[in-house]
Amino acid sequence: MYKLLRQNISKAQLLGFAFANLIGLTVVLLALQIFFDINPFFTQKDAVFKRDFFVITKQINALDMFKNGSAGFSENEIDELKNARFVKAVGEFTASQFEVYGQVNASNTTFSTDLFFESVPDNFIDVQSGKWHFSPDKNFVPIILPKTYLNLYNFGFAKSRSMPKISQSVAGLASLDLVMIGNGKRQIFTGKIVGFSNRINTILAPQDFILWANRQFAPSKKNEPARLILEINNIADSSIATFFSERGYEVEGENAAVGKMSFFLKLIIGIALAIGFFICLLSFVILMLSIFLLLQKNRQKLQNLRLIGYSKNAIANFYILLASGINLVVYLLSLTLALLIRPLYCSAILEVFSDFSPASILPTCAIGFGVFLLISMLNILIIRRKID
Amino acid sequence: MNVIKLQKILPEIFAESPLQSGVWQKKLEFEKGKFYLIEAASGKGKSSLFSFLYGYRNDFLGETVFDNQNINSFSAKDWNEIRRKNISLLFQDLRLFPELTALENIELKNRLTNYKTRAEILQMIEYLQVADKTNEKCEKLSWGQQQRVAIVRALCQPFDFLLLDEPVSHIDDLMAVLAADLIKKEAKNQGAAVIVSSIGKNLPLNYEKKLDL
Repeated sequence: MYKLLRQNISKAQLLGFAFANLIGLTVVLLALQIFFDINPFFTQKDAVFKRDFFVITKQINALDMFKNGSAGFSENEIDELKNARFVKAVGEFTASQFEVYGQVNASNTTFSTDLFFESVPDNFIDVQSGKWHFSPDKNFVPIILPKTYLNLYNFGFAKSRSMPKISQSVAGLASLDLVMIGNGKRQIFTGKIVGFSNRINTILAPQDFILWANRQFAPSKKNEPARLILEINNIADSSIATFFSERGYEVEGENAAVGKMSFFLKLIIGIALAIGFFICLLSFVILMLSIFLLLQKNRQKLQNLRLIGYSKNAIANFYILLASGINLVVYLLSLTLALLIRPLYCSAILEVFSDFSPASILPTCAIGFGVFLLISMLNILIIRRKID
Repeated sequence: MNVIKLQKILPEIFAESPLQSGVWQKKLEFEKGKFYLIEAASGKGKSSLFSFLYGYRNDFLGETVFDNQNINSFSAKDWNEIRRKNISLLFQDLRLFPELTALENIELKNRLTNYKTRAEILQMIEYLQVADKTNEKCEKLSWGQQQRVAIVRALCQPFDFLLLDEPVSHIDDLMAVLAADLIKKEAKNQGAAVIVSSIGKNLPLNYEKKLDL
């Protein structure tokens, strides 16, 4: 019987289908595999983008420049953030409300500069130091500076002036006097740099110190925090960016870029997937049309087969086998193709990120198999319907 | 299956102008083991009758009953079974597959029923003197040769009723005798009924009943 039914098969049409479906499915599988491979960069901790913290401020616009008030976050706004789906924890920046001068005594000259401090709860700080605590009776304040300050000095200033570079440990040796004035009081502390933070872009002092000093030197002033530090569940969550922009919050640093990058990554992969599926869909239509045409051409034959006693299923099975067979070959080929292309982009990623470890190919295989099953099922359904 | 009962059946196309007939609108029974001849001029509905009995058309009035079952109640699956085990039909237009050889055409049926051995098939082909065409594609065969191939195919299954729609229209008298022999032998073997239609040239059998359509 198969010899009979084989007769009118248009090889060109089926080849066309197979080719189109091959391209479509390869695009789909490749896009999925790229997504699986790259996604850990955006979601896993301790991966390339390991910080899952955001520091947010309110946007300052032209009008605010003339207002003396704070551009701080109200309690309601902080509560809203605490309850947001993507936020794990919220820390407030507490700013010093009094005057601070830093003084360095070198030989007989005294250099002095205006300073300010901010603090955040300790668990948001990325620097581990045994000296990071404050007690009022010791007159000592540990300080954490942004890493960028050190870099700015080492790679900008020191280089151009032929001055020695300073390492983190050397910087920790230097001390400076901190003069605090306010509320009719004046007190001198010794300040020491205990570390450099990658995460927080301010001059940090321990929270205990700021709270204590604000009470001492500026008891009357109250202030809403101007900056918040958020610990985020998944910084690749693209809804974060929308959430912030709707409320006019600005995000400091590159974490915002990670969100955007992941958004664009998802967008591009989404487009690739859509195109791939669209090609698959078109090729599916080609296959169906080709089989319809075949059934039409073979109408008389099929009827005669039915009349000499062949069952509908026996006849349909030939076409089902044909369609499923082609689908299976296409699936295997496209999987092979995708896996052949994969090392190309993997090596490109490896050049940039040496700790890149490709994801498993199993999910992609499974999804590809799912697509194969789905298409074949549809084929079977339509063929059974078409043969009577 | 032992008996086919026609209960006043009439093709729908004749419903407007009912005609005098020995079959249409009559109560009739075809019994297993007997030979029947239905004679008629063309256009009287011979092939229609066979298509009703073979279940691929049902545009008729009245009832057709196999044993005690109305054939309108049969499903496609039931008909598959009937066409493999109970009724064999030699189509007037033969319905051979032109792109297959004579033998392939016969085997296509026999593979379904596993009723005859290859040797038996070749023997029948030889008996009807088309052995030299065994491996020839059917499209290259004359109508008479094709008729003989179709007769062999029709015999490659168990049946209670063998329907032959103008089986010898293109076969000479000598060959008709051979075909009749072969058919008679197989029918006797199976204890089956044979219903033959004809527009003049008859398959030479001892008919128990002759009907005018």
